[in-house]
Amino acid sequence: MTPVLFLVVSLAGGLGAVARFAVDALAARVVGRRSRWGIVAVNVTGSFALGLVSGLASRGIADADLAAVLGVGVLGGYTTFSTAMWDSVTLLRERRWAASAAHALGTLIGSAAAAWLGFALGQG
Amino acid sequence: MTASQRAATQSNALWAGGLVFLGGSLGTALRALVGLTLPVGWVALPTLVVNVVGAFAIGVLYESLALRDGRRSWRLFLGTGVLGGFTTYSALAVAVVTHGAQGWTSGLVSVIAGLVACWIGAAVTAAARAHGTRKSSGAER
Repeated sequence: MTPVLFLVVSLAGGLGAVARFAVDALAARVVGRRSRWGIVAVNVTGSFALGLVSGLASRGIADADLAAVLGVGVLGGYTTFSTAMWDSVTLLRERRWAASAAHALGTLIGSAAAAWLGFALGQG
Repeated sequence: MTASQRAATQSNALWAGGLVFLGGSLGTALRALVGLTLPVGWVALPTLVVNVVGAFAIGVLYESLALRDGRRSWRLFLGTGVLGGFTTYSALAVAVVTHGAQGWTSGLVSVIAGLVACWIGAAVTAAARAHGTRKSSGAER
């Protein structure tokens, strides 16, 4: 990776993070302040988009540099694992075992399903 | 809302967005460095490593910010920005669906290891704070 591409990927990640922040704030306004749905929505939609980019890249439609900026940068910065884990652990510490398991597994399965759909569409 | 209140809200949003952008860029740079350094190895190994490390770090961070004032800026910069940008869910999700059974194994390992790491980070920080509080209240006596 050239230094310029590295810089562009990093700044693209910053933009992705701002988009996540905006979606989360919007979800908080719509569903309520303590809602975890914002981050769930971010991870599912971001996984769909990365599946799509990966599918297109596998056909040679998106070139490697563009795929890095979109995949490692924008979508890597947009989606997040740490906050998803914190939300599950918060439920665990409140002894809401079923809600915690549903949140952790639901995010994994939902994101994987979205990625699969995006990948299938991208592969055409 | 008065014009000055609206201006204050807008400058607040700009400040918050700037912190998240800066932090997210730094976090993404760190993740890209790990991706360039570590071998891909077993199913998306660099993703698993950054995610578990980031989950531990956010447990420490959010637990240590829980009882402190003026914490919103740190939470936005380090939590939403740096750790949010450092860790990623999309690469994990794509790895799960492009590696068959091994992909699902790596997804479950990531989530279980991430939960344990985050919980340990928070628990250790809470225990350290309780210890510190006991010591300082002992010194007062």
